[in-house]
Amino acid sequence: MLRSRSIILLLLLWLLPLVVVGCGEEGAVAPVEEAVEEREAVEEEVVEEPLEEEEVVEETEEGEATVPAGTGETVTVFVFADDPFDAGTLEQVVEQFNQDNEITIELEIQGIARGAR
Amino acid sequence: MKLRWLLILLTVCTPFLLIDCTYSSASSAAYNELGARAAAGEMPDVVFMDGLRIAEFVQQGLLQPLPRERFALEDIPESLLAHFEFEGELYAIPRDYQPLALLVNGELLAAQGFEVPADWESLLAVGTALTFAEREAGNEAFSAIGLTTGFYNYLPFFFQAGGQLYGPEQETLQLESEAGLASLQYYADLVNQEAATVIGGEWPEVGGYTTLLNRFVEGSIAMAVVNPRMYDLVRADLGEQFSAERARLVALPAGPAGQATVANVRAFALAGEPTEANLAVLEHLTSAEVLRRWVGDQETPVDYIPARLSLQDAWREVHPEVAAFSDSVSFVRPYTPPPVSPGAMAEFDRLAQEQLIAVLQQGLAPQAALSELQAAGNRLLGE
Repeated sequence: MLRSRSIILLLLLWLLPLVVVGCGEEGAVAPVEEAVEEREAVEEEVVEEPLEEEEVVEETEEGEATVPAGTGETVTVFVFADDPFDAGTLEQVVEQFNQDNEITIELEIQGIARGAR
Repeated sequence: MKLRWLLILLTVCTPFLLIDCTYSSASSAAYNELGARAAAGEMPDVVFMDGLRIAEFVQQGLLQPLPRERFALEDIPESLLAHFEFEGELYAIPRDYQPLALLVNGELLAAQGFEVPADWESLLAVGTALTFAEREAGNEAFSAIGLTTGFYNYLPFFFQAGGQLYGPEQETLQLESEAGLASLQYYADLVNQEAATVIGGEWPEVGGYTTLLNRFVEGSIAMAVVNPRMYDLVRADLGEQFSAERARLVALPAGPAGQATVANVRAFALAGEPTEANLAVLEHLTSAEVLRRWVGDQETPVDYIPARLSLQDAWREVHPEVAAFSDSVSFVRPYTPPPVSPGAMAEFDRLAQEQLIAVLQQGLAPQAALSELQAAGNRLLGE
């Protein structure tokens, strides 16, 4: 009994690395150089992000910084629409609102495909 | 394993689910969805509602009363706001309304030397005379008026006779009344004196609107009660034949107690907490500045009449041929069904149509039909 358990354990230990490698995506066990390159690329992206945000912030005539669009509270709106004119107008209204305000409207239109302008 | 099958099913079915999003019955599918979300405790913050369905959502405590001072309500007619008022509280801000009015083939009436009827008496007289005149001219299938058997289309006549649909607490119907009898007898007279023909009548066809509009376009009826969406369909179907006179729109002929019509009023309501953000969005979506967009141009549908008085002139300017729709806002009678289940409402609609068909096509006395309908309605209200 003990012997058969040992054989099973040995088999499991042998199969484990294969299973781990097999489950990964292609290239999951990447060479060290590639991993370093990827990390550097990620670090560059992280450095760039705050710069992009700074560009979004605008200054008013009085010199007050406005809040970037879409960074505030989200309000969900549920609407049904019967035709493309109604749905398209709703979408335009919401797009404009989201550009102009710190509140973000998350619009859900039932009854007609989105983007049907 | 079950999860895998579910995923496969979802993947296979998704295209069909998307295709199923057609233009028709958008509102009923949306209400089903809202009901499911309410049951799951996942209501959106702001929801679109209409006067025919809001009562049940208010009754279930799913909507918040609104602070009136926030929404410039002096710019919205009281007749529209009344659709969303319950026990002194306002639960939605109207966006647009779709009233009923009379569509008339003005060219045909003028050719036969008739004026467009403005009251019950002239509608009956002109209708009967026009029917016989056209039939004599060889248009044998002609009837002046196409009359559908939906309860909603009968309601303006009931109100024009001075009717009040409910008792003070909305606990009982008041259909079996002098006004009920006068309006239903008038409806029957239109058919008995051959001013009108009954179109549709098969449940659940609900009035046979398609047949009605087709007959108006082909010229075998000359008058019908329509809403703005139906007007749009007629305009499209007439194509090059269309003119403001061929599809002339006027207010419904006034009854003995004056003018009245009913309207489907659509509005935004608050299901989330009354936070500053939620109220700001609700305010924005119902503001005159935003509703101005639904005025559109001459090519856009006419069934989005903005609920704001300050936009009435702009709407009339762009859509002068259907000004009768927007002008009717001063005599729209609130029609908000009681907070019963959709099933109970559908059952009442079915019974009402059955009784209307019995009166108009089978000679049932209006008094008997009203008694039957009132008893059935009160039973459903009490459930």
